Amino acid sequence: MPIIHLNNPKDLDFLKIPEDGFSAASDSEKENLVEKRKSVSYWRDAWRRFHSNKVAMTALIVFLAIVVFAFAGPLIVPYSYESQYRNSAKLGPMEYSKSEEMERTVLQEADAVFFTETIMGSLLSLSKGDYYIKQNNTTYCFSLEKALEKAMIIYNKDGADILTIGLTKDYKNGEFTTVTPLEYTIGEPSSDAKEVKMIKSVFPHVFGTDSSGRDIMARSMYGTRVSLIIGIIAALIVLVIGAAIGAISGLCGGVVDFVIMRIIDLIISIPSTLMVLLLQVVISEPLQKWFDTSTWGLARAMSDLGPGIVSIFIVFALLYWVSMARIVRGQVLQLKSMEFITAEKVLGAGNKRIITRHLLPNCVGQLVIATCLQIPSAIFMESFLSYLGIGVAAPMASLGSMCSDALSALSLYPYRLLCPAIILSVLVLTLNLIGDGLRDALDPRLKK
Amino acid sequence: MFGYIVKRIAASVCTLLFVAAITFLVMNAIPGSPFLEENTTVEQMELANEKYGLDKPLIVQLKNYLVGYLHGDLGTSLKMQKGTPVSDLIFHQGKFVLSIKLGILALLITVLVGVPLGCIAAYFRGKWIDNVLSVFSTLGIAIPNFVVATLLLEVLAIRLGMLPSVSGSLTDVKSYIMPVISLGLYYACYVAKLTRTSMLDAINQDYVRTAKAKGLKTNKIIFKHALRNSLIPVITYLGPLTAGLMCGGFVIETTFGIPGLGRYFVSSIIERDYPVIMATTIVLSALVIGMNLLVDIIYTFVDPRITLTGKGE
Repeated sequence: MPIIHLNNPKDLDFLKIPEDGFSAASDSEKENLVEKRKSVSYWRDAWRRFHSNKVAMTALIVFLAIVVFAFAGPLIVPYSYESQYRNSAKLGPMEYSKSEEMERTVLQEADAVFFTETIMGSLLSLSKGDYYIKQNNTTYCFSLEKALEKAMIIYNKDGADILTIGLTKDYKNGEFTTVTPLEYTIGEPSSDAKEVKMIKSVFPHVFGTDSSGRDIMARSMYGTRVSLIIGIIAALIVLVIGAAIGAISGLCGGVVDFVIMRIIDLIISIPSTLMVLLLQVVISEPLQKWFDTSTWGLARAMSDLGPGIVSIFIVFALLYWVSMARIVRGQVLQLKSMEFITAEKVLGAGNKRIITRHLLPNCVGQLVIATCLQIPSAIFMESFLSYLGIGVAAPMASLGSMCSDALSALSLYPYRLLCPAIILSVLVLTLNLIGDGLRDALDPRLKK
Repeated sequence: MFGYIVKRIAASVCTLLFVAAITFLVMNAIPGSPFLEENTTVEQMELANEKYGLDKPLIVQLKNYLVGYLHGDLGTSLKMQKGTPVSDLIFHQGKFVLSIKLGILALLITVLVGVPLGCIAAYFRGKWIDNVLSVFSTLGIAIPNFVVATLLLEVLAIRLGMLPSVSGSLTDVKSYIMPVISLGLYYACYVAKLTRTSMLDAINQDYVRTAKAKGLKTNKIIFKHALRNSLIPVITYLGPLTAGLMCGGFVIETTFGIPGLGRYFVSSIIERDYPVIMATTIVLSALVIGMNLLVDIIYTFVDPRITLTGKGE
């Protein structure tokens, strides 16, 4: 086998390699090429680093717990964030209103109690009409000749299917003074009959209620959801606009870059909070008008959020993209001049391939970090605006507006401030810590 | 150097003009009018608009504002205190002074507490002191300033009665304590983190190693050589810090009932008092932009590595 000796690399001339200059690799040579260990991808590696970071992992777990609290909590808590429960105003944490207290006592003695609908905290009022109850695979149908106020339906387990109806105003010393047997039939209910659902237990107001009788825990869950959604959407808006403008600026260079950079300089030196306050007031009213008149799908979706929140998004889209654009531009400029990009160009790759295969994957770590750190700042901004009374409007709630609502009676009911404030702080804290953890995991060059 | 400073001043003036134009446009886009009350007739509206020049084209109105500002005339309030010159409202009634006092004190707290704590944390890197400081500064930047303010108010003023609950016009020293702490806490924590990072950065530099090799004492290396360079990021942060303190003051002023500029600004927007909105924005922006300018100029003296051509990077 002829072996080509290369004393000087310049001698290498592929055209001069003889045809028998190649031979099949032997088994031992092949063995060197066998993958000994699975190659570790960038994300797997980053996850491993993140996973070993105790602080960041704890923060992640706490953050996920808050997310579960906000999104899955309403499945467990039967109260809604906007309903004002009768007789339930100004309850302390874990306290029950008078009527709830009575329900609880009744529940301990009777085997099952039914109420119309699922309104908690207000006792049953049954209007005239047909009703049905489903219990133990049996459907009991009954109809009422006249409306009954403050009634309870008692299902007696021991006496098989004896249904009685008691009036709670006659409830004294653990017993109903007037208990009327209910005439019922078993079978299919008529089509316009209403279902009466059973209540097995009365759910406590864990964080108490506010002065209009709204459950603070349900409101906290809702407020956390609103704050989280605002933070995430605002961060995504900033990401998209900032990354696009930054990438254009970095890639195009020249006049485009110059103009964009001057605009960025300008926006950075504007005191943004002043502008936010002004814009917030300006945008809200026209937005509301647009929501009321427009039939466009997007407008409908946004009107559910309310003009206060949408104008926060607009403000972020107008003013807050600049730092993201700077980061992306810096990255693109740095990468553009790296050898591997030059090599790729020499190999004949087009712009598209360079952007999708090299620039984006190399920027992605930075983008993730910056976006993650943008979320708490958006949440802060929203709470700041809501606190000043120009963000989220009632009956909607955000953590900031709940803090603001709590101020009027702070000395009497400090927990009304503490509950949302603690959730807000923990949320921001964990997001900051996760962001720091991501920085260490995704960009190990920065770690000292 | 001189050319650079002139250029920066020109850029700052442009920014200020831009802010003025934007504020003017945005302000005029707010639905409603300062004269709109329950029983205002169309004629009365027109008369009032004519009297205060609101019927003129927008560009003329803007020009009038700007010419006025150049002459030191901030205009006349249309609604909140009808007929009073805005400069009287802002400067002579002490609103501006109150906000500035609060801001400067908070700035001092931020720098005088933040920088030393950052240095200490870097000096004892990895020790328990560093960990404790880390925990506190991380917590500090996670708690919104209005929560800090209300908690201080509740605990120190109402429960313990140590400090006056309504700070009012900040007449005695005691009334300053809570507003300044709640305004400065976030930024002090941020500056502490910033100083720690840049200090650690500086400690790993070659010149520190050289100083060590020459046999200098650790204290001297840290406080004479490393500190100077690690202060550069802190100086850069002074611009955003000023903006943050002035605007963060809005919330603090609301919470403590201080009749400062921030509260005034918010209510002027709600009342659509155009000259007051304009003047307040311009004064605050001038302050922030001026601070940015100052920082840029200080920067060139502190860090000779920075090019003076104005191109930077």
